[in-house]
Amino acid sequence: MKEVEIIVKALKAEATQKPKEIIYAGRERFTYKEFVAMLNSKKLQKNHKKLVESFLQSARKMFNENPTYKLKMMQLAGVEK
Amino acid sequence: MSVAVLVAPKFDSATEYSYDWSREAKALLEEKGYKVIDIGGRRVSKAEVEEALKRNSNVLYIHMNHGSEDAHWGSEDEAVINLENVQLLSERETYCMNCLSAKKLGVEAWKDKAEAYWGYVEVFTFTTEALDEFREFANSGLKFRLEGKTWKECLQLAKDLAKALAQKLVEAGKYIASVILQGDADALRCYTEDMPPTSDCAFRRLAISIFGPKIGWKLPSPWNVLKV
Repeated sequence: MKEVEIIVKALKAEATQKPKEIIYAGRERFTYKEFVAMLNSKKLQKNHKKLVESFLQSARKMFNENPTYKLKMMQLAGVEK
Repeated sequence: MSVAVLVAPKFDSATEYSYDWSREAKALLEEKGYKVIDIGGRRVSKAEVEEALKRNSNVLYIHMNHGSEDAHWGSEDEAVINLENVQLLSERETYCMNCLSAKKLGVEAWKDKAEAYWGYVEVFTFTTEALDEFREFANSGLKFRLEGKTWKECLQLAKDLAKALAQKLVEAGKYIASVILQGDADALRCYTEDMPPTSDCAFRRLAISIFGPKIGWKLPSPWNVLKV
């Protein structure tokens, strides 16, 4: 499984556990579930695409630089180390 | 007595949070003896911000609300600062907790001799799951500045704080929030005389490397000339 697939799978699991939490991005707001659904969507508006790209860039950076984050993502995604 | 102009409009659910965070900023300023001209908690017009800034030249200006590449917003449809009145930021320190304004407006303010411009080059994002951590990060640069740090030190300290807060969120199982906080920190910029803006544009980078930032940022881009 690629690192992005692990991250998206793990964050989907987190989003399922937290249905009430909201993300505010400028003038827009998303539930965690709505936001995570955008992470592997191919049909996004330009501003949403930029938001998703920035998020995944930060997520991948943390995955590669933060061992605790990487371990938690792998556990949540159900991936063996 | 030092004076600060604090503009924190409130007109939608996101700005209810930014207004709430601005109360901490106000308290920090007042603790340090500042007289705070507090314009907010409602829709704010361009005229009242212009008047406050004109009456108080060279004082610290803080904007906490929606932003865009070329504007600070006071309501859904009225910018309080944009490219038309950016000269009001010259020779003053500007501290923003808004989206994107360091991308273009901040650069123009820097070109117009702003003493400092603190802001973000991407959309400022936060989650309801970690409001305390986002508030702490959003106000941290101001807090460090009021403690007497240079803007360069403030920027480094704010980025270090964000890293520590993101780690705290990871350990608390708040993974989405931790990534978003780290993203905000990556988008944070501060422009001063010794920290000029950088650019993604190849022409601009070349111009800056040849002529230095002061002249390099003022040369017209050939793409804009061609458009005319």
